[in-house]
Amino acid sequence: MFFFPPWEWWTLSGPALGTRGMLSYLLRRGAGAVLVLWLVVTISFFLMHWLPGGPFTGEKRLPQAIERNLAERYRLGEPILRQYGAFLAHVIRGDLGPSFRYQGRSVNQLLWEAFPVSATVGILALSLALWVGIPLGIRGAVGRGSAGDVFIFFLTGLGMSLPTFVLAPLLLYIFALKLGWLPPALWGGPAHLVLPVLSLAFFPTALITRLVQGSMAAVLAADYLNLARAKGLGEKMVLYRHALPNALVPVLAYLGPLTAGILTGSFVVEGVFALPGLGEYFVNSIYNRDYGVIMGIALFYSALLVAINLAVDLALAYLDPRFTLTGRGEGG
Amino acid sequence: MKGRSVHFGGGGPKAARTYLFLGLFLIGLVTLLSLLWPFLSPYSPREQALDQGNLPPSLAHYWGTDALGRDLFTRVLYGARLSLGIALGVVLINLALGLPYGAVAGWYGGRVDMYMMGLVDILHGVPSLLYIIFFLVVLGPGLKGIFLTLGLAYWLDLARQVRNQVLSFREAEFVLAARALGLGPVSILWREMLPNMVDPLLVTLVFHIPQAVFLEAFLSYLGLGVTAPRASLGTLLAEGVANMRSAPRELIFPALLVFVIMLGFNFLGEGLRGGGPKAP
Repeated sequence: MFFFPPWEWWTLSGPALGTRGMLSYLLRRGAGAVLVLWLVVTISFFLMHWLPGGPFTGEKRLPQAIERNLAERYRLGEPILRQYGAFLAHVIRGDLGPSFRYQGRSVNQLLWEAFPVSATVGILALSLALWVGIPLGIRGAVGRGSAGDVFIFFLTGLGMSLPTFVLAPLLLYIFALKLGWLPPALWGGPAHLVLPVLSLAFFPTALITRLVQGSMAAVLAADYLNLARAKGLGEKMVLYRHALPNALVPVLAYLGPLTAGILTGSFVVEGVFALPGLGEYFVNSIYNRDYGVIMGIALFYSALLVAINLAVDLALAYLDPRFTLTGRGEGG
Repeated sequence: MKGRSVHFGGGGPKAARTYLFLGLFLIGLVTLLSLLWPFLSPYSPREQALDQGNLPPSLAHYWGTDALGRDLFTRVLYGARLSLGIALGVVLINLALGLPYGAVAGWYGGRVDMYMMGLVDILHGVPSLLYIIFFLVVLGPGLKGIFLTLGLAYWLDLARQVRNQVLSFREAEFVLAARALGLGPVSILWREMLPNMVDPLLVTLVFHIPQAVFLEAFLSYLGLGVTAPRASLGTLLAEGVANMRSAPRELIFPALLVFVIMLGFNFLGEGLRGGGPKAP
């Protein structure tokens, strides 16, 4: 629980941790992130090579040209450690390799084309979730025990029980097929964005509302707010200037898992609404058993999530040095 | 905040009882239906009757039939049973991993704890879902893969929770007393500490069940989970999405079941936790 009045944050991130403390924390967490990424790359490599049914052990033949390219790129004739070294060198240089299905298509090309679509939908959904969830959570926390509080709590309970793969097809059916209000699929004008963004934003909205409701209620019970009130501050000022920044810390701390949730949702939403995003390519490459693309996208998304977690941890450490004491860092 | 009984949001302890009963009612309903469907419907979930395809709901087929003439009511309830069974199994596997791991780390503390929890922290940083998918692609879909991968999905949280509790109990008086009586570590952990952490552990487990239902359905939806002739709610949903234009009920009924199951467990969890969201 976080009872640091925001006007004292600077004192805490100053003397308590200091530039040197911050720097050593940054180094420690940075090393941790690199370790996780290395682990991820290594696991991918050995899964591909050792599991039965993997691309290099499977008996299914690929087209000659692709097979020759693969053998050359992955150095299939050489000892396994040599292969691993070559693979690692490619990944470090940011080269995620070729597709195993489509000749002349690389994962990097795919990322370049498809990621902007996914990022647009994802960022819009996350913004919508924050924009709706935070005020709703505040409302719920302020009127604690009231009918509104119970209603919001109930509503978020419903929201958290509707996974994207249930909601997206239902929305598509109701608003595009039955009512015909919105286009059912494909990438076009803003109208094409409404349904995908709504289906993606639903679950995070419920989650953020819950988070803010809980943390806000905890903050509202803290003594420093009584002090602020006793000093004669208006209730609005107390709420938005003094309580809210503290109540938002858990939302910040949850940004990593939240992003991971949006990624998960995008795998479904892009399929349902036929958007040419990265999630759709990922799912298609699962159907096609295109190991190159699966691994490339998995590595890219892992790096993205690890980077977000690192940024979140550093921001938290800056805001509240106590975060440096516990080993945090959550994946998806 | 300790020592003050503060209930955050959701209406407090009185409402908690309502959530508890609501959750129990929904879960009870689905469980009963999914266990008793052989008595409620004369059809088999797998047997095809091609001359009876795509029938609308009627008294003979409560929810109609799919394109292959299979009774939808039977299939959805059968799918719900499979989904619930998998979720329960997955949660138990995670418990079997996380409980001893956390207990050992918490009991020994010091260096052992540091290394064991360091490993947990590192693994926590790995985006698990991407690796579950990757693993299942390589391993091939099926129940074995589902248990193998989902069985490793939540044990980190459990290990951390158990470790924190064991660590906090280590110096407690009831543990000192047990030590003085000459009890060994295993019996202290099992007979003295475990009963004291059942409540919070139960809440965590109850919240893991809808997550496991979600994950299994998600993976089956992607075609990586349960395969034909078996059909879980996720498989049915994927079929429903494919046939949405011609037979929307094939989408609506599995969606309803997923929703009710997740809602039931979420409410049950809230009820057990005492109403209102936990302050994170």
